[in-house]
Amino acid sequence: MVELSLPKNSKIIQGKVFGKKTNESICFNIYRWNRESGSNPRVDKFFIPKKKLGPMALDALLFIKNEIDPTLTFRRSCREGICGSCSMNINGTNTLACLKPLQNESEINIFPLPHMKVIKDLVPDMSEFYEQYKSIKPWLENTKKGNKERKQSPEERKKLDGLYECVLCACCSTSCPSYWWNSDKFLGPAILLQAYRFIVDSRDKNKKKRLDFLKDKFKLYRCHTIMNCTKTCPKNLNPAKAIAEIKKLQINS
Amino acid sequence: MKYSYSTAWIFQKLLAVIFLLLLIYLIFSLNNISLSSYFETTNWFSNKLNSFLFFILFTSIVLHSNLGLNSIIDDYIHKKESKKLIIVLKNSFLVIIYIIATISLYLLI
Repeated sequence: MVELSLPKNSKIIQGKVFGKKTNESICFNIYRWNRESGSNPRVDKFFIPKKKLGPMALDALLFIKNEIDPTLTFRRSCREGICGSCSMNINGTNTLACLKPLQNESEINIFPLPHMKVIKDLVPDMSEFYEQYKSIKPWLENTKKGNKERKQSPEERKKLDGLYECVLCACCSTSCPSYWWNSDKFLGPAILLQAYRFIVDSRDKNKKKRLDFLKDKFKLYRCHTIMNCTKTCPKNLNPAKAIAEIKKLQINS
Repeated sequence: MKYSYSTAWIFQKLLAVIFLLLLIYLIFSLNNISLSSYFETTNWFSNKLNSFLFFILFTSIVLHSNLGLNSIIDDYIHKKESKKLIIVLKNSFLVIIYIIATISLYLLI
């Protein structure tokens, strides 16, 4: 059954305060939790002068880690929205910290991706997400063997636009209420977008098997077209449309 | 097309379109009579076209509700025993109101 309140040991308490509030500073409220400490999660406040910060939220996190608190834990790699590592919830929206510009906010709240198990601070446990990705067989399958290349027409290639760009950051899946309640059974928008990417690829010959695999009221039909996925995608992709296309293909298959 | 969840999904969308159109008809049709008058209301139902369309509307709403409630139950109820019990209660409720509505409508014609 759905639980509407947090368990006692998950209630967020007030954390430490670093720096002093000035007119020229931005306050970063950052979620902190370390399972080894055994204590409740807390929100630390970091007051940082604007002039010391780079243009993006990730720059601020790196500044905090390098200059203020080296125990702050988060994933990051490419710093340009390609690797999908630094996905987190910033000011209530799931996004990539490296693509989130710091504007004129005086306060910024940074939390891990919602409804994911937290490993430490801003690092969520992505194992289930990757297992789901594995389940859709994210590789091209073709029974024809040979050494020749498999050519695609420009039209066939165009079908992959808006799909292949997905970096699997999980911002969309973790913004989806259906995924929150049924993350063990519903594949979620990111994985379904990837599934559609292989279904429409002209070089793949397992379209029917892929559609049959998705023909399930939990894997696919927990999507109720809420559209949070499309709204939040930091790469401006449209997972909701991909899911709708799969549903249309299911009717004809 | 074999029966599968995709059938239920498209059926739910079709039902939604049907009852939306009939609901618009109902609003315009009922607009011409005074619902506070028992005589006028029963008179409206005694018209065979009105009562037939109302029957289709009510049937589509009950079927659409059934599919929608199943979906909500699948979303939020995870314990098997609770799920079974809630589905039985839901089905009983829908069957009872459907029978009551059908008999009432029959008596009005």
